[in-house]
This record gives sequence, structure tokens and C-alpha cells, in this order.
Amino acid sequence: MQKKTGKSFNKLTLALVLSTAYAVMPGSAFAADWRNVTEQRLVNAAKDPNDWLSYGRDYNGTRFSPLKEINSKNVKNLKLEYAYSLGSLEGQQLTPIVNSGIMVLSVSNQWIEAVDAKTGERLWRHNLKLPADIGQFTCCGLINKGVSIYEDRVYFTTLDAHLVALDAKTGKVVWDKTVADYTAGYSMTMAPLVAKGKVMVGVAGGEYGVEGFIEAYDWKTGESVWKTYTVPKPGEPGNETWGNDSWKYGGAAAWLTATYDPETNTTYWGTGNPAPWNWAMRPGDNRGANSMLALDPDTGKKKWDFQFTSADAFDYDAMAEGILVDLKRSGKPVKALVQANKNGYLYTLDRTDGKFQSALKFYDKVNWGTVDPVTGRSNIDPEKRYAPGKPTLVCPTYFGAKGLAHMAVNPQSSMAFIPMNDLCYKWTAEEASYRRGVMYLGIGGEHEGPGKGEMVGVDLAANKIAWRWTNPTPLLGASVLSTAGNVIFFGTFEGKFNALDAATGKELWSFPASSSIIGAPVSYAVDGKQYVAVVSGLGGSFPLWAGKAVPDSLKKINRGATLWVFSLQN
Amino acid sequence: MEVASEIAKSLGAKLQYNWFAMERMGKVFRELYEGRCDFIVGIPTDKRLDGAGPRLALSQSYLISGFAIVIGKGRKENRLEDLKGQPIGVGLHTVSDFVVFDLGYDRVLFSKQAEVFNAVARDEIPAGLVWAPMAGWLAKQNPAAQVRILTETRPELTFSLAVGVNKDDPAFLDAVNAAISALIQSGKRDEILKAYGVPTLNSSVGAEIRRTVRASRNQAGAALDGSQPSLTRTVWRGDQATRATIRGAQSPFIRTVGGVGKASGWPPAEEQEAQGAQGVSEPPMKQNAVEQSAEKSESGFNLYHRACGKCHGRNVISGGIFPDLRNFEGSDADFIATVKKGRPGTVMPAWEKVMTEAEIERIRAYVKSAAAE
Repeated sequence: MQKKTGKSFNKLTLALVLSTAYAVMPGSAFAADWRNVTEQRLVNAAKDPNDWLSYGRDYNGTRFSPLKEINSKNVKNLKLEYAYSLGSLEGQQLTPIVNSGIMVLSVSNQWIEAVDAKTGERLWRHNLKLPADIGQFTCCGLINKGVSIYEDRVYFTTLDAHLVALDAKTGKVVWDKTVADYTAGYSMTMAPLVAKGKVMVGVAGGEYGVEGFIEAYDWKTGESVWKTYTVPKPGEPGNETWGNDSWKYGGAAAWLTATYDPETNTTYWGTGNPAPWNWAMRPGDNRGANSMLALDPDTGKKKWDFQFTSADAFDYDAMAEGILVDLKRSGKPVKALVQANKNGYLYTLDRTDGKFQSALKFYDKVNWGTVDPVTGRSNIDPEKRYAPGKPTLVCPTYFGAKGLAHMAVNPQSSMAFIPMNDLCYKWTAEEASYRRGVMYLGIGGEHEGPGKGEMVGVDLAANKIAWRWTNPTPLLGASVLSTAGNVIFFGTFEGKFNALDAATGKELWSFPASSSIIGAPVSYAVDGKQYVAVVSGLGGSFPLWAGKAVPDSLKKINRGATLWVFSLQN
Repeated sequence: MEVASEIAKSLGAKLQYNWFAMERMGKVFRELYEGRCDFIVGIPTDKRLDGAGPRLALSQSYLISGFAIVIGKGRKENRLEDLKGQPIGVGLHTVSDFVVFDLGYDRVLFSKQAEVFNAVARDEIPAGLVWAPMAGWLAKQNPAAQVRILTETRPELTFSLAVGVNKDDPAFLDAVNAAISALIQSGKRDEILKAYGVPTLNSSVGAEIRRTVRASRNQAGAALDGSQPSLTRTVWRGDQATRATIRGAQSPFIRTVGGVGKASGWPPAEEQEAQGAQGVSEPPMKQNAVEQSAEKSESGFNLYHRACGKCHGRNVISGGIFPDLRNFEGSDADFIATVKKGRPGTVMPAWEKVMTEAEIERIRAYVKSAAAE
């Protein structure tokens, strides 16, 4: 009796100890591991090789890792360290974030996971709830581009246009703000830019005739600090460039993460297409759309703007990253902002005043028109403007010669690496009236497939193409990682994860992932060891929007999200 | 038309008017906003249509009208409720169609208001809902039919009608309001109504209006801004709206006259021809309150690419992620039901709150034609 009681008491104690340990251990161990992401760390990210603290790795948006344990000589020995199933069938367009050995992933817009970056062990998961009718308002599946971190918070956006702050140690919601009404076609997929205590976001929805805007929220409380519209309202300069009152549904959504220059206290936002796509419905240049906007992070005030494609007819968004890099051009230093635009030109602007420096054609088949070499103003060939009964064949397609996949810059070698799409589109004009919550395009037509892709290496100092590497399908999802080891990494629709020699474009290594790769690779180090990671998972806009240009080979690829982590194994 | 004429007279202006097919309503509103036209008569002030016409100001109401219950010869029913279980004729995709459907009655669809009336007159159906001014006129023209028009109708079926003017011109709105007051007080309005046999409609005041499907449609598309279609509609051959343009030497409200004013009487020549076959002529003031806010009819191709193509692929060619609709295996009715209700548990949403059944039908027809290619 006595014995029996003692035994069960022991059992009970053991069970208690175990359950307590089980419940608390991972959380507390993790809590101890989370290193606060201070402003200082973010500003100095370029100098700290171990982490990947923000979307473009540093505020400059370079996607350049200073790590060089893995280099062009030994990359052939790169081996899989672990693969971790993320449990989703949605397209995975994210850039993982790594802070001192903890990786935070936004798994489409379904859940956020924190995992041990060394082992792939899950630390926490936060599940999202999207409205049941979200499919009406999304263009490209349940896409999300990743989270941002600041202090002890994780920030992300949702397809129903919310901005959410999580406790980085537990994954619990701290605050959740509605940025815009998703039923009017507003959505969000971007990772926020967090700087100076502000969480800054833009909205997507240029296909739904939304009013594009950029808004800053206080990192702690989630209170709105400022809000700046991208399209000038009546009375503001540029409103007159929106004929037929088209500014009202003008789009110009800044739908990707901005870059930030602490030195000049400026954030740089690329804005999207004017709505609707049909140019005839909005006579004028449509200022604010397809532009680079330089905004003060404290007030949201516009410092300058530069329009890439004026009077756009082809959905040539300028949402792409404006990467900040200091160049030497003809012996003169240039504080540059470079953007590889959808229209097929790589633009260099002076980031201090927005002045046009150069435009380099990186896609040979460009036929929509020309860029003035002095002013940078675009001139669309009137013959390429489609009209009722007059279809036109235009290169590049609306996906852009460089789409939403991110290029990378190696600031040490002044090289840029542009994932390029070689694909054209035959446009037809259709009528459309604005209608809340459905697409506002006003065009028809079809791709002239199948198309192909190229990785283009550019010498930014000389402003010249250095090399080209060809892929059987467009590189619409092939965001690039550039490293100090003279290697670049990117994935393809075929599911290949490739490493090229950054100087020559020669293929050095390739790994067959289990599904297409449309996510962005990152590199980080834990305990002195360098890792390269990428998430695979077929989805996104290309298989949905490419029509006849979707190759049959792509239709055979299965969906399914996996995190792949590689390291050198001697 | 007569109302418009009286208002013009009262303003000391000469009336010019243009007829527009209902599917051109967006254009009609643009005519107003762009100053080529001064007012539009017959706009419902119903709350259900609110909130979307930021550039439109409405006058006071000049008439309460709506869909009247037309009862066949020798029948005893006196209320809509009495007709439960019996087939009721309605115009396809009119408010009457939706209300009768919502209330759970059996309905018989007709493409024209006059056809509803004629079916009742020929005793093919026991009763129908007909736009009141039209019902009155048709009954007056066809006394032999011996139909009864009930003055009591459902609140959902009545509309308070007003004149729409450009919001930027409050002085003009005041003048129109004064003209309407004069029109009513002088008894001139009732004279006009009497002359055309227009019945006065009553509905129980305070009765709660069911705002189910219609309300959400209005949220999805702004009703009175011509650029934002909302309340549906199939295209009705011969359906027209009145656009009035005023021109007068004494009038302070001189506007540029756009388009070609057709100074003919009712009905316009081609309309008379079209109606010859039907044996009854159409009445004046034929504006259907709700059709005033009708969209222009958008093609199945356009609708598909605005709503469906982003997942199911351009030109109905799927990229492999979502079902290829060329291989849809169900019936036409299955297709329409799926689009209306969506597929719960997947990202396929319910489109019925954004699109009308007629629009979904056009999408189905387009998809079918694309599949055949």
C-alpha cells in the first residue's frame, strides 16, 4: 500500500516535471536566444555577415552576403544540410529572415514559423485566418513575400490588407491593424520596411483600381504615423496628368519593400502600374505611377519622384527594389539607386536628388519605345499603342523583362545580377468600367510563348552587360543572392537551385528541388558555419497569368513547400 | 417625359431629350457629369441605391411608383401574399424578379414588361408584377383584358422617384425642386398620371424592407455612378431611358447640347416599329427605376478576364494550378451554381454578390465557346 502510493506519487511528479519542461523549455530557451534587433544592428547589417535581418538583407536592399566560406572554388561541394517541409501547397515567394540562428518564415499567407536555422526544428508557428472570399481579391494565390523584424517583434502583412505585429519570442499577436479595405481590391504581400521606429508599408491592388498609398505605423503601438498617397490628388502637382478623372482609381500601388538610406534620411518606394491597364482610359503621363518616390521616413513627405514609364500601356510597374550602391562612374563618385525596370532598362539615378544618370537596355528585344539618354524620359512608340481593332505585339510582356523577382548587387565588385524574362505579349484593347472588387484592366490578348529566361550580369561602374546565362523558362521568380565568395544563387521554375560564377556567369553547381523555386535564397552563419537557404513551392503569378506561355514541363511539377538548407561538407 | 417637359416649362426652358438604351446608362450619367445634359428623370431615391453617386444630387421626389401587382380577369386575390404557390410573372432581372424570388414565390420570367402584362391579359398566368406606369398605360389601352391593378404592393417594390442633377450646381437643384413643387401643387402631375392611367401605389409604411441580395450587390458596385455598374440587368431590346436637355434663351441654365436630340413623340419611331408585332404600344415614362442604375452589358470575355482569368488562365487556358475550365464536366446549371456559390474550403469565392446571374451566364457561354476552340 505504502509502496504503491509512493510509486504513483513518483510517477505523478515525473509527469509534472516532464509536462512543465515540455511546455516551457522550447519557449524559454528560444526567448533567451532572441537577440533584440536594434536600429543600430539594422543600420550596420552590411558589416555583420552572420544574419539576414531585413528583406533585402540590409537597408540598401543589396541581397549581398559578405560571407565567403562558400566560394566559386568550393561551391561544387555544397550539400544538403537539411530539408524541412513547410506543409503548404501554395506558392512560396518569401525571403526568410535570420537573426542569430533563428529563422522566421512566412509560409505563403497561411502561417508564420520560427525555426532553428541550424537544425530546422520548429520553435513556434502562428496561424493566419484569411476571409473566405479572399480568392475574389487576390491575383496570384496566397502569396506573401516574408516578414520583417525589429526589436522583439515580427511584422507581416496579409492579403486582406492587415499589418500584424507578433512577439518574436512566442509568435503571439501583439497588435493587428487594418491598413485598407480588402473588399475594394486592396491587398498586401510585402515585407514591411522597419526603420526609425516605424513600420512602413504600401498596398497592392493596381489591377483593382485602388488608390495606392504608403503608410507608416508606430512599431510599438501600431498607431498610424503618416500616410502618403502615390497618385496626386486634385490641386497637387501632377493631378493634371490623369485625364478623365482617372486618378480616382489610378492604382500606382507601391507593393514591394522599400529601401532606406539612413545617411540622407530617405526611403525609396517603387510604385506600380496606373489603372486600368488600357492606356486610352487615362490620358496623360499618370505621374506617381511607375515611379520611384523618395519619402522622408519621419513625415512621409515626398522629396522627389522619377517616372520610368510615362503614359504606360503595358503594365510596366516600377515597383521593383531601388538598390542603393555607391559607384564610381568615369572616375566620379555617384550615390546611386539602381532599378532593373519591367520595361527592360536598368536605370541609375542619383539617390540624393532623383536625377537620371543612365539607362542600360538589358533585354535586347525591347520594342515598346525608347528612353531619352539625357532626361531618362520614356517615349512609347505610338504604333505599339493597341486600340480597338488594332492589336500590337510588345516586348517585354506585362510580367516585365525583370519581374517581381529581386536582383542582387555586389557592392564590392559593383556588379548587378538581373533575373530576366524573354517573353512578349500581343495586346488587344477591351472596354472596362471600374467595378469595386473586380479586376480593372481593359485589355485582352495572349502571350507569344513559350519564352525563356536569362540571368544577366551587369558591371554597374562601366554600365555594361558582363555576361548572360540562359534558362529554358523565364526567370520571373528567380530572386538572386549575391555573396562575397564570388558566387550567386537563384532558383528556377524547373526547380533547379543554381550557383553561378559571379564574374563570368558560368554554372558551378545545381540542386534539383522537389518543386519550382520562386522564393529568394539567403545566406547566414551559425556558430561560424555558412549556410545557404531557399524555399521551394510552385505558385505565384506565372502559372496563372502566362496563358499559352506556361510550358507543359511546368504543368508536370507538383506543388509543396520545402525549406532547403545547404552547407559545405568536406 | 411629361414630367420633364413640365419642369422645363417651369424653368422657362425648352426641352430637348435623347433616348438611350438601358445598357447605355453609364453614358447617360456621363452626359450629365460632363455638362451635355442638365437632368435625368426617374432616379429612385431608395436607400438601397445610396452611397455611390458622389457627383449626383437628387431632387425631392415627384412620384412614388414601383411594380404594381396585375391580377387576371375574374380572380379574387388582393395581395401578393394571396398568390403564394401560384406562378407570378416578372421581368427577368428586374427588382420584381429578385423580390419575388427572395420571398419564395414561384415566378415566370419574361424579357419585357409588356410581355408580363400580356401573359396576364391572356390568362396564361394568374398575376404578374409590372412597372406601374407601364401597367397603367397597358391596362388603359387594353380595357378588354379586364385586369385589375392593385394599388397595394410590397414596400420592396416601391420607389420614390426624383430628378438627378449635377451636384456641382446647387442653384439648379433648387430650381428643379421648385419646379417639382409647382408641378405637384398645381395638380398638373396628377393630370399627367391620370392621362396615362398611372396608378398610385401604396405600401405599408414602416414595413421592413428585406435587403439581402440587393444590398450586398450595391456594396459591391456603386449604383448611381454610371461608371460603376451594380444592379445588374440583362439587356432589354427596346428599353430606353430619358435624357433631357434644356435649352432656352431666358434660362440661366443654358448648356451645350450634346448628341442629337430627337424631337419626336412617344414612342420613338424604331420603338413603334418594334412594338408593332406585340399589338400593344408602350406607355410614356417608361423608365424602370432600377434599370436606371443598370450597367452596360459587359461581355462574357471581359467578365471572365476580370474575375476568373487570374486563376483559371488567360483565354481559359489554365497554367496547371487551378482547374482548366475547358474540362468542366458538369451541366450549365452546375457551372452557374458553382460560380454563384463558390467552392467552400477552396479559394474559389462566391461570385453572386458581385455578379448577376445574367453576367454569370455570359461567362459560362464564353467559357463554353473557348472550350470548343
